[in-house]
Amino acid sequence: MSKESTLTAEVEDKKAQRNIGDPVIWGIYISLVLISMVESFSASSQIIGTGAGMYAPIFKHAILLFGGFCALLVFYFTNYKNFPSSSHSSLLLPSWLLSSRPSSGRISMVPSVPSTWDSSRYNRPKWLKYLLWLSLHGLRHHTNDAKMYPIEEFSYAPH
Amino acid sequence: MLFYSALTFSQGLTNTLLLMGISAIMMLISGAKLKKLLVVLLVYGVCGGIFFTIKSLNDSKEENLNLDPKTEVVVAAEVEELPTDNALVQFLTKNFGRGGTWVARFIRHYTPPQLVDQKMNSKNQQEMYARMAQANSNRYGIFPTGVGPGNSRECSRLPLAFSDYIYSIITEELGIVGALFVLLLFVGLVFRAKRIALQCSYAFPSFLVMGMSVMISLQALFHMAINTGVVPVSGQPLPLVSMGGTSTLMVSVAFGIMLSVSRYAIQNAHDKELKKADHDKLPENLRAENPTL
Repeated sequence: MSKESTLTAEVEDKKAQRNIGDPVIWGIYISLVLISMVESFSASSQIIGTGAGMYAPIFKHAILLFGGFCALLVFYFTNYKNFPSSSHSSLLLPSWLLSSRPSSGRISMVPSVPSTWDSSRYNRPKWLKYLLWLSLHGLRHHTNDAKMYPIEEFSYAPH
Repeated sequence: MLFYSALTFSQGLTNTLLLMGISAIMMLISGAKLKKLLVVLLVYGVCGGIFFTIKSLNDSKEENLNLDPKTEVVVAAEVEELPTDNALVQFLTKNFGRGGTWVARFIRHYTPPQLVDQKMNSKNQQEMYARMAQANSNRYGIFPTGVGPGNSRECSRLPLAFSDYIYSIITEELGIVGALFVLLLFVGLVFRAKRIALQCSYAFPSFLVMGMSVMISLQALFHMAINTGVVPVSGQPLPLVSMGGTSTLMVSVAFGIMLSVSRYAIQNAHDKELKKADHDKLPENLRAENPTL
């Protein structure tokens, strides 16, 4: 790596550290989380009887929101340039999450189809597409969460 | 995409409609010609129709095979309870399985008599309680700020108030002011994403940020439409607000992706040196210029 590119990378890193992202999107996220905490606590009165106690549903929801915030931070600190390469591996997360709940899941081989169709264009080894297909085949996937993958594929594919 | 849409059509109607809406909006954003877009939508419709018919016939066969006399009596009793069920609706629900139920739901929703004239039963109680919750928001008739957090009356009666019907509870507790505030948050997200997309130099980040915002906002609008009775009842959580497991996680990931784009793509767009260095480092298939600029 040349000296110039190292310097540019350092400048880029420093600038990125100072930049916290779009403040309005942060504001919307925090507002929605706060509304969610207040309203979910209020609306969860039906399931309190079946839970461990009064605060059990909201405690569970708070943990999920915290998990979501951690996931947000992971993607927040990742440069967008790395998303195309990680889009296939990101398929595994909801597949793994939902594989233990067959009633809420859907067959997951479907979102992998566009990936395998286009895989030859991205110089991936041929065996990888079969590996992706086989590794995802049979696991279950929620269609609601799968909406993200066509967007990634669409954003990537036209170029 | 087509295969995916076709298969999800047989699995969940609202999710498929959302997926179709998102892909159509993404095509519009990317500057697809109207003719091509119409062709794609036509193919969507044809594929969806084929799978819909296959699924409907399959369902009706399965139902006939697993016919239980007790269940039959219960279903017949429920059908009799509904005054709006005309001969067509009864024919669809009896002979076309789940597919027929979807069509019947639309027919019931858009044909009189309206909900106010109906008696409450197991099929329309969610809609009824949701309307009651919304009406209860202006209980005192002074200022439409709702009954206040924690004072909801319908939350203990409305089924799935914490997920599929949380917007009704928000309306009841925070009034029309709170409901509009939540609506504005989701609409504002799209406008903010548009602003970020216009500042990006390359196509990939701009499409990514627009896609994520459209995905979140469209789902939210669908949820609000179901709650307010604009479209028939269907299970669709309000992104990040409803109680839910993977939904919360995936919406947070979408927010993370949007923030990452706003963090890295915009700063490089403004700085010439960084933009040049960024351009050199990008893989060739990510160097396409932003078509919206």
